[in-house]
Parts: sequence; structure tokens; C-alpha cells
Amino acid sequence: MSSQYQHSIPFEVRRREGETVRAKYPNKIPIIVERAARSQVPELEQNKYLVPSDLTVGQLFFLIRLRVSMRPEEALFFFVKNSIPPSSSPLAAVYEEHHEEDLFLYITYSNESVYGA
Amino acid sequence: MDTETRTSSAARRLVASLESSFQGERPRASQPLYQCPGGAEEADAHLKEVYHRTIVTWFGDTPSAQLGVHRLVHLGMTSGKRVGDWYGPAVVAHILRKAVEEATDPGLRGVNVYVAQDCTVYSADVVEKHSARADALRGPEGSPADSTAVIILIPIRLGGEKINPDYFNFVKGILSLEYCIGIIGGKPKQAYYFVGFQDDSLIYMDPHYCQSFVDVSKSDFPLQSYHCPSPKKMPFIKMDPSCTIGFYSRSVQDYERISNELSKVLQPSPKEKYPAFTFMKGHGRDYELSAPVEKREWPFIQSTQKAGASAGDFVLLKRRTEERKGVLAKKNAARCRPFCECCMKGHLCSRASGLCGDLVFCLNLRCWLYEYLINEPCSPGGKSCIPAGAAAQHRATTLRFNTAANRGIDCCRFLKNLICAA
Repeated sequence: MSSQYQHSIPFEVRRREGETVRAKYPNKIPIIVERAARSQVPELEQNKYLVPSDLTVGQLFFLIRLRVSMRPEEALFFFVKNSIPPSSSPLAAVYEEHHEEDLFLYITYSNESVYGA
Repeated sequence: MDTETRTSSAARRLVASLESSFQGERPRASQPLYQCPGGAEEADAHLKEVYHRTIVTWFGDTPSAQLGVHRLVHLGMTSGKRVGDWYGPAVVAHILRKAVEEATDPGLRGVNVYVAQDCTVYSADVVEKHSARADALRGPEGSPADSTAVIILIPIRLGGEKINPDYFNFVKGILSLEYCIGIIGGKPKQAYYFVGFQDDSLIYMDPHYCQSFVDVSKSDFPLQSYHCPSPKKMPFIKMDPSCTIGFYSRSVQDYERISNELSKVLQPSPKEKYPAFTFMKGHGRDYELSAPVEKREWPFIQSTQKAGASAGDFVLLKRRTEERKGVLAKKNAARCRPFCECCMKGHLCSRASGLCGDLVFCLNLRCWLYEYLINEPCSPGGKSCIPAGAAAQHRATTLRFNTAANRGIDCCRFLKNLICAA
């Protein structure tokens, strides 16, 4: 797991923030959305998001697409710990299973790779 | 080699059904062929040869070829690719879909292509594709070829930067399925076509081989360069994570079998936490974000400003169309051009109306109706914004909106609300 956010901010700070946010917004989920290394997708302006817990992965696709200005036709993939979360599952379920110790869920996104050099 | 033969048998079935749809379509053209001297078997072989050649001509190297490289590159331009750009397997899937949709050849009218969205196959959408071109297919004698075959293409990514070894078994399972027609993929920066596997190696065909031009308009053009004489092998670990899986479904029954068999392969084992793609009931549009908007009270324009508001340094994401409108509005504002509050298109016609405060609408009927509907509650004093004689037009428009099955039309809902309230 090579998250830029994790590297740049010490664990204690992240954990404290995670706890605060979880306490303050019990029905929202703190997620960090980052671009996968060596991916050609545009970078997101912000990486920290608070989403409603019943938002599904499919709906997150939609929201992130808007923020990186990609058409639905252009391929976008999400990864949680290097595997693809199913688009039907609510983020709450993904969060329960895969959040880090700092109480954040880390999602990386990537586009397709092109063949040719 | 069992898998390879199975995959190739799936490919043969595809060709066979293409042929059968072809047969249904042009019975007259094929009739004289049956009269070949030398009995039924020879005639059959001859017929197969004709179909074989017809299919190959679709891939000819001329701009007029239905699925030729010229056509595909041309369609690629509509997806933002320029000539000389490299393509990825997902873009290619969409280009193939467009090429087949636009193909005019009667033989290709029996096939449709479905491309999965965000690693999800929506069953109702596939079934819809099965019946999409059925009318065009029905033979003069009402042949039972009433269903369009569908090629299901699923762009996936089996890992972020590198392929995730947890997915190897999944790939093996996919390639073992009868209905799988292979995988568009490759190793980093080099495209291959995966057709099967053996132990821990993938069996692929390599297109990187220069061959001389074949003029497919001639009646007896050479066929050998259209077939791969020597498939190759490479280890799974070298595979690029980006790929597109293909399935061939002859009919709705076939599709049910495919989804049944696939759900077994996709069942997550304890090691691989999530399946690489999922099946979902219903249409893709049913799951779009416009669905839960109903609850909101309707002059929701004010709330657009709040979209993307932050708590601390967090960005609050909301499951709402206002998010979309907010982003579009921002974009349009950045361009310093007036945009219509309803369609958000930013291309206002000269007769833009501005009845409702500072909001601007174009006079496109839909937007205008929308404006009227927002405007209505803010003028309770009887000052109606609606021109006389428009009521009848309203009713007509409601009807049109309803029948056009136009999604995401707020007007329709607003009109319904209005009618219910009245």
C-alpha cells in the first residue's frame, strides 16, 4: 500500500482525524481517493472525501468521473487493496472490511493501459 | 490444450451463428449455391467457404470494410483518439460496439455488442440488446431467428499497477467457459489476443506481424494470412492488468446460462476478496444517481451552490444530480458564458428568458417548461409566468416526455407533481 496521503501525514494525526470525523458524522465515511502510480488519469484536486455510507461503489464511480472529467465511456477502475470493489456494494460494507487503522478507507483509481510504445 | 479447443469451439459457434443469421437474411443469394454439382456435402462445404470469405471481407484493409482498421480508427476519433494514438482494451470495446452498430451489412445485423459499464454487466441491458435488431433479422418465412446474438465485452483491470496474482484462477475459469471468446489484452505496451491457457501460461495470438495487403474485393483472395498458424505462450505474471473479456451469447437462454456459469467463477474465494466484475439485475440507468432525487423539494436550484461543500478539509460527496449540475454550472461559469439552468448546456439561444430572478433559461421547450415550473411557486400573487394558451401545449409535452422514455428529464416529474397538486 503506497498511499501518498499516508506517507505525508503521520499516523497519529490521521487516526485522530479519523476518530473525530467518525464521531461527528456517524453516517458518513471518510475516504481517501488517490490516483494509482503511473496511471494516465487526471489527478483529483482533493483526495479527502466524506461520503454517505449508503452510497454504492457504482455511484462513487459516477461522482469521481465528474471530478476528473471523464466520460462514462472512458474506463475508470477503483481498487481497494489492489482488488476491484463490486459496484453494487455500499461503501459502508467496503469500509467495514477494508478501512485502515487510521479509520480511513483508501481507494486508488486508474484508467486502462494502452497497448503500444 | 482442452481449454484451447473449447475456446476455439466457442469461436466456431460464433462463426456458425453468424452464418446462420446470414442465411436467414439472404435466402435468395444462397440458393444457387445449393445447386452445385457433387451432392449436398460439397455444396455445404462450398457454402461454408462463401460465409468464411464474407466474414473475412468485413475485416478488409479498405475504408469501406465494415470492421476494417480504417473504420475502427475513424470511430476511434469519436472517442477522442487521434490517428497514431495507442488504444486500450476498453476504448477498443466501445469502438467495436460502434462499428457493429453502424454496420450495414445484412450479415452483421444479426449481431449486437454490449459493453459493460464500470465492471458491471446489467442483465436487462443485455436482454434488450438481444431483441434490439430482431425486426431486421426476421426472415421472409418468419424463421425462428428472432433473437439477435450479443457479444458481451467486459473491460476490467486485474490489479492497479501490476496484475494481482489473486486473479489468475479467475482468468483460468473465464477461459475455460464454453461461451468465452477470449480476452483482448497483452503484456505491458504490447497487445495480444488471449484464447486459452495451459498450466501457468496463457495461449495467445500475436498481431505484431507484417503481412502483405490482400484485396478482399477479388472473388478468390488468399485466406491464409487471416489465420494464425502458430499460437504462442507466455506466463500469467507478465500479463498487463488491463483487458477486455469477451462472451458470445446467441440468445437470451444462452445469456442466462452464461450468467449462471459465470456467477460460479466469480464467487469470491476467501483469498480473492472481490470478483473482477459483477452481474446486476435491471438496467444500468436504474442505478444512476438521478434515482433518489424524488425526495427533494423541487426548486432545488438554490442548493447547487452547496454541492461539494466541505467539512474541515473534507469534500462532502452527495448522491444527487445537483452535484452534476453544480460541476457543470461551475464549468460553464468559468467559461463566462451564460448557461441555461435546466439543460446546463451553456448555449443559450438569443431569446433567452430570465423570468425567474437571476436564473436564465433557453427557450428550448423543455427548459422553458422547467422554468415555468420553478417560477410558478415564486409568483403566488396570481402573476402567472405562463403565456396564454400554453396549457394545451403542456399536456402535449407531458405526453411526449412520457413516451420518449427520455431519462433524467426533470420536467416530466415536475409536471407530474404539478398535475397531482392541482
